[in-house]
Amino acid sequence: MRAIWLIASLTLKETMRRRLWVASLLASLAVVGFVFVAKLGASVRANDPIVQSVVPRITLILGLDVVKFFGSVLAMTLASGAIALEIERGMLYAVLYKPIRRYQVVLGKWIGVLVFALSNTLFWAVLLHVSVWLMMGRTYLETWRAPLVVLLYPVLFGTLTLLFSTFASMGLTIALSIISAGVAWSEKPMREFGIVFDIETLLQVANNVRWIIPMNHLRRWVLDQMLVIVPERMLASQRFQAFENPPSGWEIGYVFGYIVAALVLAVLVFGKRDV
Amino acid sequence: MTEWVIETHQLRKVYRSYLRRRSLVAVDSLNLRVPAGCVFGFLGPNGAGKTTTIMMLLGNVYPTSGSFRIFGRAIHDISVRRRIGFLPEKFQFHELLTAEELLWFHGRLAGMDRHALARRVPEVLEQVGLLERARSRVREFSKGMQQRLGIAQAILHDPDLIILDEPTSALDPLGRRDVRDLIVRLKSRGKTVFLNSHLLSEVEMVCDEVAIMRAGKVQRQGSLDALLQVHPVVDVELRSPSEGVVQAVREVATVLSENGTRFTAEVQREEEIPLLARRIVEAGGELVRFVPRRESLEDLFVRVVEESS
Repeated sequence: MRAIWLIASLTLKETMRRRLWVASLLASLAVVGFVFVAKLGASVRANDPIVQSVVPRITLILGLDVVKFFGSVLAMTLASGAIALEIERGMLYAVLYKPIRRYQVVLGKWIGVLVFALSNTLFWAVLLHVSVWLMMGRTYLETWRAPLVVLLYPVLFGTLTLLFSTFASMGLTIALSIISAGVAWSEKPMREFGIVFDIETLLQVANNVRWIIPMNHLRRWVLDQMLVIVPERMLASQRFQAFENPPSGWEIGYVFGYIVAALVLAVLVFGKRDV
Repeated sequence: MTEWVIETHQLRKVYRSYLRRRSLVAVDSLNLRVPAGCVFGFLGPNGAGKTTTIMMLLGNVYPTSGSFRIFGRAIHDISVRRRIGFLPEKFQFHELLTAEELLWFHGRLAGMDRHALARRVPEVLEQVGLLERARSRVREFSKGMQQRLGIAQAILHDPDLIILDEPTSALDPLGRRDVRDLIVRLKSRGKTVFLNSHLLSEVEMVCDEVAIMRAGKVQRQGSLDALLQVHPVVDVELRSPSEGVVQAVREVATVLSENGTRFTAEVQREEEIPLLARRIVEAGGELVRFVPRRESLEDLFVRVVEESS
């Protein structure tokens, strides 16, 4: 257990000293800027009560998308170098011969990467809510669960990237993690196109993709937590009803199982490979 | 009875490239025995399989077949790992840590407690000449200083077996001397040092036993004294060598190398060295230099590698 915490704290310390907090600061500015731009847009129709009611809610919903994106990218960036880069640079040679097990290295890296990524993601989500409150005078405390579900995005993509990092080179790890994120993000447009243009094959592909990288379940879960503030018009639309049904308990379980399986696979692969 | 710190039996490593459908035998049927308390030189040309062997011994690379034991146990035994210190050939430390932080990290990983580390970290930093830079970040260190820090990391937890892979490659002559002294000190304390180095003159100065590898196989292994106790060699320089002189030399010795007025000759026994000198003079040769010497490790290395090519 001590080895896991030592490696996790070293990973965290290195991350802080690499000044990744500068990137975190820039992302914070982007979140605040996003809310500011939305407020500017709403101020054009300051007397329209519908606009004043809808814009803060849409800002929060879309703002969480921004937070998801930054959180996922941060976790992927950190995880891609966690093992692959340390092998390429020879850093792990002086670590692996110590009286520790390889799974402790993987778990230590996983914890170190996720502590940084999750604390930042949570901070951005809170910052988003605070910005909406300060700039638009609205609070939506009833959606407090949504940011917690958003935290699963960096966990999902960070774990997947760490898995790639256990067997691929740094460059290949980055490529694989970008491809997997791209595949996951393409699921929604594929489904929409499939329905709009009635292309059965596209719908089947989209159905498969949601199981290969289960981001869709997470997206619908986040939205489910935000449902109380989703504007009525949006709720009533056919497209919304077609795509955004809340995930079943089984689907949520699948997401957790997927993350655990990716982590276990990372441990097994790293345990069996030559370093 | 000799206690063996490292024992390998028919150890073999084959790297397979499934895409190119090729395989490379990096280590082949390696049988190695390293006695306790000695400095063991592990030599070989580039690509001989030395680093792969070391990586297998440390459990970083899995053997294709064969077996090995360290301190009589498998490397996966945690108690064995506690007794090993290792300096890798190609390494980079976490460069944003200070030297002190880095050693604390490695010491804690090695299972040392805080009290032991508080005492030991300054001690090893002093041994490698980095005490004054304890609070400097590793990235401010030169390559040589990083190598010294690597050695500090390898000996920090006072291991019984220290594996050094090219420990002096980035060091200046003074640094090399310090490492030699350190190895001698470790040996005097009963530690076993497994040394892989291309600097044969250094290996010759500190090693008790050597193994010479080529193409994944051990070509020679034994105590340095036994391996070098072959025929004596004489370096000769003549003012103007004639055909007759050369003929006279060839009658009593084997000419190993020839370069104008200089040549190196090998005789069968030490008693034949005065005979060689006499024959040269009798044949009219004018000696400028006549230096008998023992075969050096470098001579042996070159000979073994050439013989096995």
